[in-house]
Amino acid sequence: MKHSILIVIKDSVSSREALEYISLLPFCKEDVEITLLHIFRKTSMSEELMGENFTEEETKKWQKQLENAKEILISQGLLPEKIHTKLVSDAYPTVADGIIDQFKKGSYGTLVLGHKKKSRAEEFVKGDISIKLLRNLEGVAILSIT
Amino acid sequence: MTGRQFTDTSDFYSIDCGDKIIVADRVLTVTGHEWERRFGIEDPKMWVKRAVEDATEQKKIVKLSFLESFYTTLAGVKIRCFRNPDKEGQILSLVRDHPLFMQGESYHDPKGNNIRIIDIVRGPNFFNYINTIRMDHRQYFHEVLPDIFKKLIKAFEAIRFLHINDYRHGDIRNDHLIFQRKTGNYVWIDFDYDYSATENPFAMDLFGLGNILLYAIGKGFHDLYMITHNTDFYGDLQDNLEERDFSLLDKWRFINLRKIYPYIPKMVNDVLMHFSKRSNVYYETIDELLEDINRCYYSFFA
Repeated sequence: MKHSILIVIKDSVSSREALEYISLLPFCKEDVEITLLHIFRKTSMSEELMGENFTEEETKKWQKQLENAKEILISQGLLPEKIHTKLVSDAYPTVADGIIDQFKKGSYGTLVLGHKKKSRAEEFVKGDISIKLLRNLEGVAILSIT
Repeated sequence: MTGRQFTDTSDFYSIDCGDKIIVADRVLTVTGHEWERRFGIEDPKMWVKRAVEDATEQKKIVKLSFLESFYTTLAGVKIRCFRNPDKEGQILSLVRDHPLFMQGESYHDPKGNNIRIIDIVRGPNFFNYINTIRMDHRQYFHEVLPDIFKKLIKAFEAIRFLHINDYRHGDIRNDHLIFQRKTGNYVWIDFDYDYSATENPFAMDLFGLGNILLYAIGKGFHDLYMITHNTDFYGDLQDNLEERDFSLLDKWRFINLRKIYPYIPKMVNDVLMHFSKRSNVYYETIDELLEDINRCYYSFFA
């Protein structure tokens, strides 16, 4: 059975662990299609002031990060032609909105992401991507790895 | 002595009483500056001038560009706050003629500094207004709060108008809501503050609204110090306190008002408890909060 997985890549320990966890699962490598996704966060006012160089450097950095993530999966035996990378710079209000939109645009069956443990106060103020995804996506397997 | 004339407002500290600020085709004579009045302390806000417009002799507030930025920490969460004069200017355009927002016009001086000329909203702020109501809580709750609650819902709906247009108020406090004497409306003022928020862009606005609701329903704030030092009023409540009775972001602020006033309906108290340490589910959008407070209003106050 064909399986299409969207993995959200972020600059966090939990994101790396999520990737590692997926890379070690015993998939039938011909049947699994993986997309590695990074959503750029909408720039804050101060980042806008940093100008184009900052944005360019961020883009290069994340292209490299996605390629590195792809290499990790390939090193565990997954097929290079079945692994795709996607760097999204559309100005979504939040990263969660971006993930939801990208997930709906693709024909994915599973969504994987790392989840950083937060205090309740932090969760209230900063929000929680995993909880937003659970609230907004239905009929989807969401794997949130802490 | 004839005042100096300023078209460039970059050095707002040097603009003083008697000076004239000239912007677009408007001339305003400075009569003083505004003061931040919080916790019994008064700080001058040198970037906010009191003025009279020469052509109309109307009193105005002139807000000059002050790009202050700082970090604040709430319950261990670090938040970057900054003043965003352009945001306030954009909101002034958005809310033109909206009766629940202060009114004014936004300009730029030749150096690109944002200047906002604001109409004064006359009346006590919500903090002072509630503070001056002299009656016991039970009478207040049954006789006065229903009208306050109704007006607060309208004021909260006004904030929803900002949110659906992708703006935050940024500094929702009970002294930034004015009980306008002329109309009886609750009018929002001062929306030049902003804060960095990534995944929950409206969190701090919602928290501010929760505080205003708490202040209204509780007829003032109640904190741990008051509860432990005024046993005449609070009785043995101090023996019956739990951590989860207190605010999620302000550890001394008491939220679980039903422990003080048992006649507050559970449904009303539960709305407040969303802002307490007890809650596992938080309001993420103002629509969720409005739905709950409307249900409370029609169940108990209408």
